[in-house]
Amino acid sequence: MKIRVKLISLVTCMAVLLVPIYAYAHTVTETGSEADGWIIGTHAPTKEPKFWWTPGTPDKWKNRLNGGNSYMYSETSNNLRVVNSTALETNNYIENIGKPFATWVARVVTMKTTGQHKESWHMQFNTKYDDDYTDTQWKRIAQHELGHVFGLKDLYEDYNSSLLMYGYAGSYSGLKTKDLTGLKKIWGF
Amino acid sequence: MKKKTTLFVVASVSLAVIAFAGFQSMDKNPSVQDSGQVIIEMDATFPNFSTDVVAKKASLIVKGKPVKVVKTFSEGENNPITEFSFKIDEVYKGSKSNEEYISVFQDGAPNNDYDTHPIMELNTEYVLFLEEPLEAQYTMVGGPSGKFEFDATKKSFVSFTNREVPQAQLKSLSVAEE
Repeated sequence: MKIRVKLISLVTCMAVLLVPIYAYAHTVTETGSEADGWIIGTHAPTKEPKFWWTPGTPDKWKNRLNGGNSYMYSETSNNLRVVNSTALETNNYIENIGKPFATWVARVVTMKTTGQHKESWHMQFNTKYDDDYTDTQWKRIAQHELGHVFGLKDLYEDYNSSLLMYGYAGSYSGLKTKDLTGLKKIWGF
Repeated sequence: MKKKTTLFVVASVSLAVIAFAGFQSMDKNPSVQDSGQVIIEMDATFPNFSTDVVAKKASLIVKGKPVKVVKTFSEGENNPITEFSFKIDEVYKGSKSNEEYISVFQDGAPNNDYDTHPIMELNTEYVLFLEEPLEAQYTMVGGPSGKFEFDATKKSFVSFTNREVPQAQLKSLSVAEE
């Protein structure tokens, strides 16, 4: 009986200690630079932030996002990914839109932050460019946008054009060493 | 023995509570109030089209200067757009005339633009590759892919996407219409 009580106490103690480690990123003090090949901005509060699809989002766009999400998850050693949920559980959403004047391919808009955390964000894909990129390119574009969700900013110097976080689309081929370095500064994996 | 067990349990739980409180305080920026600060950040990815591609897609290629911000507005939710009055100095493709004014729309606003596609500066010379999504309303093909500013050291018009159009080759842009 006594041993059981001690064991339960120990397990409870360890569980409570470990939950914060897996759920929350620590305070990030470095910001990085173009020369570093990573720049840190605000980030989701957890490694698996939730989102919902706006109603009517075609499967094509969902598949592209899911593909990018798979890349992100595997290339971060199964640490970072977004999780599909409902509007009741989260304010974060993802959608495709088509507007006459918008010339961006995709973007992440952060509506609310608390300290370094994105509390509310949405991701959008511009249907204007549907035919300009292959499905594989779109999945990598989605992965780039997830890079923003997880805390990396755009780079725009030519010498960073091979990195996932280069701010101009078309040639992405996944997380490179410098991209990963930036993510590890935030998430510590 | 009962006392020892009780002490052990209390100590374990106390340690857990203290540690949890410690982790909670670690990831908060002490300079920001806990009630949350409303900020809008925009991180946008733009195309990186080659000059050949933008030349083919463009219905109008011009050199000139934005002379006035006509208005800023949001196209849908949180999608700032700036309308410029743009004075044409030279036409390389399309049916406009020199000295003519056109409306050019760009993503972003003067105090809220994209790092990868900064807003045009008034009275600065640009070469623009334009498409016409709505009648008489022009946007840059591929955003920054279609906006070139003169770089005096290179003697070329250079885009934010690191493409160049040497000044000597501007006239050849009209070949794209063929």
